[in-house]
Amino acid sequence: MKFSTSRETLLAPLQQIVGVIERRQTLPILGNVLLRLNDGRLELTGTDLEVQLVTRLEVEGRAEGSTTVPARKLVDIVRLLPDRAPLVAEIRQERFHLQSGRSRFTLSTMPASNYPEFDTGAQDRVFAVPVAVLRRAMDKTMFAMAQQDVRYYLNGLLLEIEGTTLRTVASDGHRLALFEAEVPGLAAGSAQAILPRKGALELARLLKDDEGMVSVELSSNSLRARMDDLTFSSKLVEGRYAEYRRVLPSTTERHVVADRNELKAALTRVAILSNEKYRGVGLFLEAGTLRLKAQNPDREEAEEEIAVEFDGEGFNVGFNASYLLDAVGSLESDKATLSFAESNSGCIIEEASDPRVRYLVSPMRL
Amino acid sequence: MLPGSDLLTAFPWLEGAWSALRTYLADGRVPHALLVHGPAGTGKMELARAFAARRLCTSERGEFACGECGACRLLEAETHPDFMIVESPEPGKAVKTDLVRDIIASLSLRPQYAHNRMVVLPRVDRLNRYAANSLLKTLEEPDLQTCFVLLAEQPGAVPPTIRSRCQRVAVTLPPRAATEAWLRNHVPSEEAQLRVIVARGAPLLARSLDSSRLVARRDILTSFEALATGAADPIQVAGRWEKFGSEELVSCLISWLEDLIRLKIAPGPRAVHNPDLGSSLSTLAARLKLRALYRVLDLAFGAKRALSGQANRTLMLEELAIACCRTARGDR
Repeated sequence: MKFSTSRETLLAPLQQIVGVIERRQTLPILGNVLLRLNDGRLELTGTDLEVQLVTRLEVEGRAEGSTTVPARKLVDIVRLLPDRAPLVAEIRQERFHLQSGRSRFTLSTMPASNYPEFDTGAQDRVFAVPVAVLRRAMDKTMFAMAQQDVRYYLNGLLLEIEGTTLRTVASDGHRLALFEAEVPGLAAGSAQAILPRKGALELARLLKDDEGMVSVELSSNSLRARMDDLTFSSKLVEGRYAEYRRVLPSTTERHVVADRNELKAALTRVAILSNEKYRGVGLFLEAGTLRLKAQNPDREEAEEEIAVEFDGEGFNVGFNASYLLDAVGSLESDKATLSFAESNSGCIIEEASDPRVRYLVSPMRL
Repeated sequence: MLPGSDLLTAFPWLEGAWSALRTYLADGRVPHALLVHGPAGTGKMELARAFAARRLCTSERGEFACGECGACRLLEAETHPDFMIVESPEPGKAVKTDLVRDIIASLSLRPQYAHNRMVVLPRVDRLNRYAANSLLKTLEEPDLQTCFVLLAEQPGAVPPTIRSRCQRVAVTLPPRAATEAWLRNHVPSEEAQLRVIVARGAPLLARSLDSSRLVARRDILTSFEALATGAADPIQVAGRWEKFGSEELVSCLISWLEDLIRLKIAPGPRAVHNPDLGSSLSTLAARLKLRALYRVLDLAFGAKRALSGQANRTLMLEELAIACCRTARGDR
């Protein structure tokens, strides 16, 4: 393998790759980046066995081939070279030689065939989604994913397609976030995949541009997302996701419409004096007003009253303030709708403008 | 090393155990958990690796892994992501609970390739209670892709809750003559017999024994005899013992005592652990009292247990030496 390129061309893709490589590996080869030169295109691959990132760049190739070299050392060398420095890289006698002007570096290599790359074969389902839609789908739901729950399927994000509907669901057992969007041209059929927490966070980070499409490929074991010069793969979580439809009440009778910013500000203030561990806040509803109350074990109390659109019989219910705030905070419209099936039941929070983004928060006893 | 088709050539005594595994593979009904048990140094790990290699190999044909496909190459480089050997980072120590839990957590993700994943857990007989219990749930409700291979030297020491969740495969010791014949291909012929004796018939253990251990064993056995005949001072002997490993010494003592007890109860030519000691054993056995021998044996077993914890080795060796010495006098 031999190629020449410039510092700038190589640095950015290499830094992206290093992002997924763990600092401490179980296998030494996972600290390496896989380089594969084919037809003037250099492919860089990094993995931690949970997610994998492949980037491609154009170089001036002179001899094809593949190898793996220590990723962090390579990125440090390239980063610290002067701007616009030319690079010539070559494999000789199983060592990676990098030359730039009067600097020379020789790195150890491990054979590319020993690298545990993700399967590159065809996947069962392939569909294209606008980057902006997928990013929104993830941003709106990911905060509700569980962390290190024993119900390991909750430590991830459910990605579901059904006809032309794209759906993401996240839940930690106390609250649930659901996003739906119609994607014209989504391949028909249905599929479910649970993206692990780490995979979801990494993928969301990579979805930067609002333009363009991302091609999503699903198999039973992994998800692959292709963007321009990037291919991101993640293993999927074993097992089935919880039956989230069952926890969403089918009909809701009481609807409360509040000004979103007012509600959020009041909740934030009241939450200061809530119990630090359980963050309980009481919602007391009467025709036209919502009172928020909190108190902590030191008998400190907070109370706020805001005007809302509500004309039913009064009732009260308690919630974890953080969960309510997460949900209200991720709405975009001026008004927030809170719906209750019956008193003391969960609360569904949605935007007046886009009812396909929904949050469900379980009540708590105060 | 990736044992492919040469498994049975290299370790012929594994034939019986392999044929059980072969049946599972041929029927396509591989159990979700196997307990491979047998004495130390009989090739349980080699068997497990060959089995795992066959399961992970992408080539359809053959009784063994092909050794050429991508999966086999990754296995050989020890970078296969769907093959795990759960071993303690400190050699010789039992696997900690946290490591077992980490492994179980990592199984919540789907395997990287195909649909098979192999987890090999050596020495499950040494897992502590918490580590063993953390395995139970996973062993009971495994996912479809994962197959556990648990290895144990003493299946009786494996918690019954684990044992009952596994299909058992026994690796048995080959006949001594066969072991000796096999060993002659690997070590100097004249050492073969002695090595088999010291390794109690376990072929791989016999092969890996250091020659200096053979000499050490001789010294140790001689010192026992000297103590039992009252010809040596126990404290001096215990001082000399310090240069041998305590584990080695205690296991020698146990084998020697068991031989004496056996000859005492049923004199005459018997199958003994140390046949190379010959008639000196029988002579000694005739002189010693059975009760005294059992008393030392109890002490020795106690010492063996204590060695896995924090024992004061000097005190322990002295206690054993004094006990041996007392057998000579026939004290109570």
